[in-house]
Amino acid sequence: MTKYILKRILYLFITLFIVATITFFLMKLLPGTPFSNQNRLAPEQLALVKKQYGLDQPIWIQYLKYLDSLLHGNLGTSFQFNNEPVTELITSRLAPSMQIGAQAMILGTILGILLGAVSAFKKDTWVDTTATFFSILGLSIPSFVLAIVLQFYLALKWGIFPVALWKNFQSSILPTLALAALPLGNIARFMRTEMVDVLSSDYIELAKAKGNSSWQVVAKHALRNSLIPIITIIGPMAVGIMTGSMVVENIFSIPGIGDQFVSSIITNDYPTIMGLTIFYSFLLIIIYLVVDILYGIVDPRIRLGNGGKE
Amino acid sequence: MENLPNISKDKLKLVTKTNDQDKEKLDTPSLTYMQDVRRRLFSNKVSMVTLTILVIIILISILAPLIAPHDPNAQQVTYANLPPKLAQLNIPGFNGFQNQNGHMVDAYKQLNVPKGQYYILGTDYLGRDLLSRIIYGTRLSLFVAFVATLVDLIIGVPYGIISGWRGGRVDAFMQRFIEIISSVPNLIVVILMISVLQPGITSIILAIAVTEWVTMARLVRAQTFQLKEQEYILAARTLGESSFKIAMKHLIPNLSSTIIIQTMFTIPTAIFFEAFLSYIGIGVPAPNASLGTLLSNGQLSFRFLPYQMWAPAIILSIIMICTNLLGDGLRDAFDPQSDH
Repeated sequence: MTKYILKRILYLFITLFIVATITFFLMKLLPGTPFSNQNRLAPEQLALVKKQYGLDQPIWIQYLKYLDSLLHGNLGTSFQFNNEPVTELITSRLAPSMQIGAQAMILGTILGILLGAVSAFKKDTWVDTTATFFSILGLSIPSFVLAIVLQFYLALKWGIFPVALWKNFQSSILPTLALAALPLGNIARFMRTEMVDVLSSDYIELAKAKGNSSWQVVAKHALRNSLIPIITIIGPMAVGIMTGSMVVENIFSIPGIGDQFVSSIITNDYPTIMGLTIFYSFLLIIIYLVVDILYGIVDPRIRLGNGGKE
Repeated sequence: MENLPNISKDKLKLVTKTNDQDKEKLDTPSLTYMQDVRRRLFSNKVSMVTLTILVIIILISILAPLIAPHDPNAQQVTYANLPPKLAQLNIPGFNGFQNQNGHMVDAYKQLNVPKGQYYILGTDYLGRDLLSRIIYGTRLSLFVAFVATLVDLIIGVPYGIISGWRGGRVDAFMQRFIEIISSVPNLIVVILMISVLQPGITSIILAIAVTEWVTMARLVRAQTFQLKEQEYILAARTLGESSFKIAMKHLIPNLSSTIIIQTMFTIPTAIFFEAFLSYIGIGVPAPNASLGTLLSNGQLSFRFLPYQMWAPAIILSIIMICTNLLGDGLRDAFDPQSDH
């Protein structure tokens, strides 16, 4: 297990290195520079500005410098916000994103498990049909459409929640709801399949034969065993939430990294785009790694050591 | 012999060969795999309903130039922001009335629109007919999704087959490559590619295809691994068939169910990405409409003109729900044992 984890961590660094390289060269290919509309700059001044950002050197030197500063956790300085370091930009905007992301994950998981369990337990009844319908809705409706609809009804029309504000817990409810729909749908479907499988297994029959009530069986045996595979979809879920958060944060004016990423794209702020890309990838790889390790711990039948061969 | 009851001869019947064969015959004709799949799909009510809805939507978008009542990009600023109105029928929400300072006002009368003229879904801030824009927008969104899925097939299927077929070092290398690509969230790759390629329909299609083929390649590879151990593949190899021919004649037909099902799930993802990109403003360039741009325009003014947001939101959601449900139905039809 230790060897496996070490190997994965090595892969993590290789992957990050490649991601950083690709992003760097993609950014160099980008048309336009952040100084392109400053016509008033004299050529000498332009050269001076370029020198300040190190843009006058050959690309490979820029690349090496970039890698070197990456190793020191320095993601460069933003073109957009008065030379604010990108690392600082990200850390200062991380909290809101993490908060709504985590809330959405927790809410979606709990509701999804409940919905999936109920629908498996009441398989082929109207309860199952209704629950399945809701999980399909959650999966299908894009988070930004849901965000707009929630904003329209719950905030604008009925005034229960603030429209677009980032202040307290109350202002985080609507974005959380909008982001929770996707994990909810995913988990409910996954859970139903697992639970239907488990409910037809021998040990459930035994538990029933011993005279346990159906609900006891579900709560004590079926639920616990169906929960294990849920861990595997945490990774894809995290991606879904990250993607969704970019627009949802924008809709609800939340000062998070998703909103920052979108606005950096529009303003050609390369260092921020690169920094956030690397940051997102790093987060994702870590989540996948933790999930794999967790899975090995929770379910000893899975032996990660044998190279993960299919 | 004397104990035998006396049976009259006419009660006995000569059993002929033909009689025998009749018994062996099955009452129902035997079905091929594809016939079986089709029967299962057609007997699934949900799949049939979603299929019908999707076919209608696809037909409308193909026939857009014939169906759309107006030119989707024609501006008529004097008729800007008209609410929906359907003929002279007085249906609430479709009667041309609008809430202005708490009073319901006939917006058509205010702007002196000729009596016979109406816009079923209203007009936008430039006086463009929303219904026509939605029809054309759906057309564009579906076009992007279908072409992206096609490109995704063209990259993903051969990649998966080669990786699975060759195995060994080639496979290991190809798999590492996939691992790296999939460790960056797809959307980020899409956004980066679009920034490099300049916003436009071609870049959106390319960007979506470049990220989405990974799942397809993985599934195809896993399946190829199983298939290549089969006897008929071994037989074909022994007979000296070339790898390319084996792939075309044996692998692809047997991979078809995996490919079709995965394609069905790529389409909604592609529609989502297109809408997402257009929504944040790096997708389909103006003045053309796609569901994403319509949604983002609608959101800007939905406080006062909510109808501009509803129509694209509903159509987008319907397409997403139907494609997802049809994907489920197809999976059940192709592989009845799997319960997802």
